Amino acid sequence: MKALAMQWLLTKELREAWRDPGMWLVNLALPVALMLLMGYGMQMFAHRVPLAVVDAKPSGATQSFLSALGNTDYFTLRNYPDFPAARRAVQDGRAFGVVWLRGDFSRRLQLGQHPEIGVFVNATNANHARIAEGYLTLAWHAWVEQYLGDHGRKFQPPVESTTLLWYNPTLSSQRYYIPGAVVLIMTVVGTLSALLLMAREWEHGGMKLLRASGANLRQVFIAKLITAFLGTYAGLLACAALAAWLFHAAPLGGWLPVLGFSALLLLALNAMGLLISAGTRNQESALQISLLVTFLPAFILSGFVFAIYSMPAAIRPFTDLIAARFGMHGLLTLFDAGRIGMVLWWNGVGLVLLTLVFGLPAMRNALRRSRS
Amino acid sequence: MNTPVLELQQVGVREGARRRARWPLRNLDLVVAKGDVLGVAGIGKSLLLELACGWRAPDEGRVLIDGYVSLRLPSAVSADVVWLGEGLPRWPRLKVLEALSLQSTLHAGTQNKAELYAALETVGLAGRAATSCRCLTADEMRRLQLALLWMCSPRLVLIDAAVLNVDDTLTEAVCRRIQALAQAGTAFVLAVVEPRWAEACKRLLWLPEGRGIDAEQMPSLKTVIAAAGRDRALSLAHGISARVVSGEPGAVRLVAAADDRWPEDVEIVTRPPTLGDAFVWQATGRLGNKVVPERSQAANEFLLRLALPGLREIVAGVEAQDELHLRNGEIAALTGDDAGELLAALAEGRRVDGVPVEVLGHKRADFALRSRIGYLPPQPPAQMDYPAQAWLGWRAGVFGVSVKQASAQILDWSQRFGLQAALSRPWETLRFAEKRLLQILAAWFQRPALVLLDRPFAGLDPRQSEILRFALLEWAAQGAGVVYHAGHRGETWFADRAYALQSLPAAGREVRA
Repeated sequence: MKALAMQWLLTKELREAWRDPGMWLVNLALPVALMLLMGYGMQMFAHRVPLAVVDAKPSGATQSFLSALGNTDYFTLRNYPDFPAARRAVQDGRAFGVVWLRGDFSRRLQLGQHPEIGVFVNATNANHARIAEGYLTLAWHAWVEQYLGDHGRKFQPPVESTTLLWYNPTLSSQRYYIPGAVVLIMTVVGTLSALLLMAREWEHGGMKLLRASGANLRQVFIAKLITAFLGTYAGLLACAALAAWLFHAAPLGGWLPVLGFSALLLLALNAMGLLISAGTRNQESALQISLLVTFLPAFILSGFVFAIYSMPAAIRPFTDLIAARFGMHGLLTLFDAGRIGMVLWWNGVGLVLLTLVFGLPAMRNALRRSRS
Repeated sequence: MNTPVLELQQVGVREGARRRARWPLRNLDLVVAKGDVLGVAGIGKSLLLELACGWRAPDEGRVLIDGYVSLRLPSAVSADVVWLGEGLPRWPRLKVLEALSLQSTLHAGTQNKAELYAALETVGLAGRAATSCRCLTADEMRRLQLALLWMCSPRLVLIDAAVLNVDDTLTEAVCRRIQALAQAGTAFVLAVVEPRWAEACKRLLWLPEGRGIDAEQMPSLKTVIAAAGRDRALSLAHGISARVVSGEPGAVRLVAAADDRWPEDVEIVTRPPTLGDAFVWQATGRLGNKVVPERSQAANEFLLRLALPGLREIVAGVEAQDELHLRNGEIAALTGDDAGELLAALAEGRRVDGVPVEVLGHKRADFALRSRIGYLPPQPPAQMDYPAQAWLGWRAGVFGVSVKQASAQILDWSQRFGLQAALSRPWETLRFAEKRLLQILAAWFQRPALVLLDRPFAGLDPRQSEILRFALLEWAAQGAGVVYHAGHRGETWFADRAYALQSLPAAGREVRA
């Protein structure tokens, strides 16, 4: 009887979810749309940065440098007659920065000296400014080395350093952002789908009706968790497909461990959604709370944007309550570093613990029949 | 047959915070044995049912089902308790057959498709088996709930009054099924607001005090079916302190004290009093008899005219068939499943294909006319967390009634309806009947010329029904025309004319804005 009832409850949940356009929207359309938006929109590298160029004394050398700069995909150059005009362009937002080639540029090169250029960058967006400045400096050093080499001279820097880049040798920001975006999307969708399933049942009086039907509410809870999990897992598969085909993501650890680890993340998030809705018992409040406790903390405290080790000591323990933090760490490891057992194990344990931390009170709250 | 199935021992339920706590039920003792059919009436019926099925925990005392505390029932016992509560089945994406099948499975009932279809046939839903539950009307949802009675043989069945608000045909079928199940040992607790359901019970209990109404009281009563019209029946009731139990146009059943003398000019048929009569007698006991308000015959304009094939007067009168005419000062009753939809379309100014309509001299109630129409929707508004008085004030503001006028009206009508205590309470804590009466009051705010009421008597006990009847008579006396949707024929005696609406034309269901 118990098994039959469980089977019927699960069938009921799956049928309702299958026939509900809202669930299709949340489980599939929303992740796909967010994946496209975040995949294309979240790019931190400088690309076609508009620069104002002031060439005080044009010569072959300055033209060579500007051609080299313009030939990269990073900058779009526009000449200005003098520095005040270039500055006005920055103020107006037509340019992001100014490259000023002084009048002694060619003379210093001919003397074998290292010429100096002036770089002025709009630093209102400090991060972007730092990146643009870094690219310009690198481009400048590379051109000087190349130019002096072509003219039989060698540029001797005071210290020579060799950098070895681990895990993301091409410094491709997509390799970081794609798994991060998947985690963020799943954080929203996993919670939303589960809380809608439970809150709607409360709102429509279905829980009361199930109780009136003699249903075991523990079974009802488990049926809802399974349904939410299957629905959101379909969304995850869609995201993974997009990541592979559209953004050419290829996890070093292989897709199978990625999908397995994501399943743990989804379970924790589904349990969190059920906990929220079991507490509020209506969709409106549940949705408001979910925004506050899922997406924002996942964005801020998961280590995706802001490094956890840089946070104040008082804040750091709270990151342990964020499922996205464990998911982020685990998936980034799988994507960029491969299967590192210890990292996956501890993050997996974290996710399982969070599933229990959220799931058990949610089940208990769902079992409380009436509020009064 | 005397094995107790349900026991309530010194049960008390508290509502509200500690300092302002109210005790809707307290020190309640009750035993329902195998095969018993108990009706509960008064205040706290739904609460009692929620306690009995284990949905709600008592604050005092304990509730036992088959000897187990109701909150911790073993699965086998829990499956044997059927609760048909006020919360209608809302699995919107399941089909009717699937919803019934699921409930039957959970109650260890049959899965046989033929039996499922037979149950749906009995409740008149066979044609809707493949329809999604979200497409069902409120009446069809109640039918679906009741279909469960034919799918299983539980030990205890708890049915709320809202679920019993069905038409006469289904009432008879359900009563027969209740008798059959009770003979087989099923115990029933029915929340009763109508005398027809009181008659299906073996005994009745008044809440919150828990005093019983049983056959011992009946010899002191006399029931009379008076072949008279509404006004005659009401004046008769006023003359000898009798109470109207139920009736149809032309035949009204009254109950009075046995020693009362009936006027000799009344054609009467005396019947032995039933539990339903005793129930009405007790329910309306403290209500003073009122004089029927005189209706002015001066103005005689048509407020509503519609032609609808299949519309029949229940008692053939002067009016032509397939047509409904309503003048000011008249009260008309409409029965039939689609009556509610027709009233909604009239109130909202929607055109119904195939039904020529003239409302207040216009083809449909456009925006300018809406303030001259008062409408009671079939269900109370969704949950609101502000007090009833605030809701009424807001409704008055919508119709442009000044604050002073609105306050005076709220005070006056809430006193007549006995709703003073309800005004300050949040809407969501009000009882169903209180919400309905407040809604009816809201429909009368702007003193409309035409009042359209969808199931106004549903969920009201005999006392509240009588108060409402006199309110409608008063509105009619002030010149308003009233059309109400009667759930069953027992509610039609009160109207000047009663119509049975077969169904709206097929195209008419597709109402256009």
